[in-house]
Amino acid sequence: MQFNVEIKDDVCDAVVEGELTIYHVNEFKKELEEAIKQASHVNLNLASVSEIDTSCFQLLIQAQTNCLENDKKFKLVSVSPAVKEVMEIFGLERHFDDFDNRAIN
Amino acid sequence: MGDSAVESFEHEASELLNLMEESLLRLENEPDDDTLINAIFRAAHTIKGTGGVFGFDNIVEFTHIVENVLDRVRVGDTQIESNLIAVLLSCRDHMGVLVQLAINGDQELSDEIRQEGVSLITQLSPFLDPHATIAGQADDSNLIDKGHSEVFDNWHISMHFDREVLQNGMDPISFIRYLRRMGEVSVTTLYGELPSLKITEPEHCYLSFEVNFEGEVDCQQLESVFEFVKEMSDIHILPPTSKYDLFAEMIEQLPDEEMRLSEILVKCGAVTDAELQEVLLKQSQLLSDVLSQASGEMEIKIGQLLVDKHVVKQSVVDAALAKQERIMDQTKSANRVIRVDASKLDKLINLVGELVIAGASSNLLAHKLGDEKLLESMSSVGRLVDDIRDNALNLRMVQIGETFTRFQRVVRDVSKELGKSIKLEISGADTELDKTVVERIGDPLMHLVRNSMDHGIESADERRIAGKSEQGILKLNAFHDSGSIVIEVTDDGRGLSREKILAKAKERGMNVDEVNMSDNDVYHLIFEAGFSTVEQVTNLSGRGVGMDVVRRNIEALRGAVDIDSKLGEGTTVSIRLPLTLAIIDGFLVGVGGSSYVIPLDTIHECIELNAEEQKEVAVQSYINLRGEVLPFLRLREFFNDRNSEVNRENIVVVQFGNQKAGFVVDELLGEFQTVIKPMGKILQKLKGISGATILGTGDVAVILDVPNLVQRATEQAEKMYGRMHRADSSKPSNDEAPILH
Repeated sequence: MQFNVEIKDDVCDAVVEGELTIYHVNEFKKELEEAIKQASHVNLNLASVSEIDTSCFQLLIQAQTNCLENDKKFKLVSVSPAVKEVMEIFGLERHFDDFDNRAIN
Repeated sequence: MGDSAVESFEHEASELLNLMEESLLRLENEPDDDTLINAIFRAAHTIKGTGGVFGFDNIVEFTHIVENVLDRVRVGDTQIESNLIAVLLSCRDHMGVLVQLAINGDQELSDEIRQEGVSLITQLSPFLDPHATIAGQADDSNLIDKGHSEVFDNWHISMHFDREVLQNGMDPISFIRYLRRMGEVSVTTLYGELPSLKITEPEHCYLSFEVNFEGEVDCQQLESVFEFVKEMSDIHILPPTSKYDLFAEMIEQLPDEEMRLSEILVKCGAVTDAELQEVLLKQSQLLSDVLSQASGEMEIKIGQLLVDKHVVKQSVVDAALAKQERIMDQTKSANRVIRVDASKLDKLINLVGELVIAGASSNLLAHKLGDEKLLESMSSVGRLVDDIRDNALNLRMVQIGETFTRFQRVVRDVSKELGKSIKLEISGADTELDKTVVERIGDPLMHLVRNSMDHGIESADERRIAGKSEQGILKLNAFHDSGSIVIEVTDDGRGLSREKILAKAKERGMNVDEVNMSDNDVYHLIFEAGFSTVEQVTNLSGRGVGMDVVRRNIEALRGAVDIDSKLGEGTTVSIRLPLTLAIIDGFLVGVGGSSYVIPLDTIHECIELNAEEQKEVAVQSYINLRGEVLPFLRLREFFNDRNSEVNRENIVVVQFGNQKAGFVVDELLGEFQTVIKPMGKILQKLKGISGATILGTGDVAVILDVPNLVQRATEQAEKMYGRMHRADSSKPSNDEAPILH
């Protein structure tokens, strides 16, 4: 897993690559927390995620909830087919839509 | 279709029809009893079903309509009322006719029967639903599904995983992915349990899933999806709503082995084995908890638990429970009646009889040899033979209840026909007697019951005038009394009129002694052939053929009829019958060179005659037994035994009904197991003998017909007493025949 963060104007653009599985979940969690701490807008790019499992997926939900609670914005800017599939599997395709770009901009 | 199958259909159908009748009659009094209407429905349903199997279309066609009405009653759309019960009873009769015709191979109905069917259906039509319903329509309100309000048309799978499931290398995603390969899946993910990002254990699983699944699978297949995760998850598989009927149907179709609810559910696929194990575990845990709390009141049912756990829906459980109940019912009735060819039983009892005789003979030889060890072993053999005999006879013992309950219908119908209100009260229904006796008691009882209703119980107006309640009461009672069974038919009607009977007797040219006849003797006149005091002959009774048939039938069974009546208060007819017709406990007595057997049950006591009494006995035919007049018979004279007299004589006091008499005998030889051997045709007419038996020595002993001999002794004493009485005119005439009372 690679977690690249770029922070600009209170906006954090994070790009995640590679596998998001239970083997990386602790690291993923740490990075997410760090990212949320540093900005009030978090844009997560999952376009290059080759695999995601339940543990990491529930972290996405938790991160989103965390942002919501702290009055921050959380957005998935792009998802890979692998992530999309899990969203479908969980019936949560629309779940992250609540954080529309329009809301941020 | 084999004959034996048809035979068993006949048997089953007649049992079900009886059940139907019985339940319908009870339903009349207890219209709110759901179990009754369910029983009736099931009976009709089963008859229709089995009828269908045999291709008896007439039965199916008619019963189907009856069943529809019953179903409406069952679900509460139609109310029970006496009209409906009357029609249903007629329908039940019609079904009986159809069944009989079908069994006889008559598929073509006669016009008359067809007409009857059409008329019954017309009568049923007001109770039928105007808009025909599809049987077994899924009832949405029955769905027990607390957490989710939507109605599932598909399978519903509820997945709750343990926290550690991810660490164990399992991912819910893969299960859902697999399900997607099996069919259409729609998932609702519940993430309410997710803790906040800060405190979360990222390796734990906090998600749970409710899955709606559509696919051609059975429960087992779905279960197997979760095979690897079952240790660390809580998976519930709910069958689709649309399949509930199928489940109920499957439960119905399961083979009738005795099985537990849980097994039924598993077999039909509503619940899988693994689910069952879990629930059972929980149940036993709960039970042990309950026990440890020492509060035994709590009752946990598997079905309830399964429903609570969302494993199955209530309607499926109900269907399974109904099935279970019915199997138990059937087992119960199987306990009551064992279907064995009667001839096999007779053979067995015959053999047991031979065994008893052979045993007696061996015993005798053993005694002659005097070998102690042999005697010991013979005595234990003897004990076993006794037990076998009792048990073998018991096999043929049946409760009289079934015979009695048949009369519910008779009383109901006849009282309607007569326009009287009559209630039948049954007691002693559990009294047992030999099946052969039961079979032959039905007709005489029928005569007596009809007679009581027709002649005994007055019309409502008459009863009101007499100050009685308008509803007449007819009682059937049975009880055991000194080796006999007594069956009583009692009514609270007008009672027998001595004058009327005497007048009628004279009119018929009978020789009657108006003054001296006891009431009892007068009443007994009604058992004479062609005797009827009723002017109006109804189609029920009054033709004067009934009562003498009753008497003859009962005497053929070695029984007796007695009648007791009080004018204005009612009449009781009691039938006294021997319990069995095969083997009895006898008492062996010796007279001259011959042996006689007296049924032990009839023996009251044995007394020795002292010299003074012997003298007294020589001139009269009764003795003073502790202040009672005891008529007696000298068996030596009675049977013309010419052997020389012995010095000592004994009197065996026997009792039959309420009459006692003594038999003078030489020797008392003791108890003896008596196998009753029928007498040859030539000897059958002999009075005073009811049969013969074979002694251990191979000699034949005659079994005394106690009722007959008691009667003779009484008559003889009466004559003697009468002569003395006439000789001594100073005696008041109302002393007449005290022994008769």
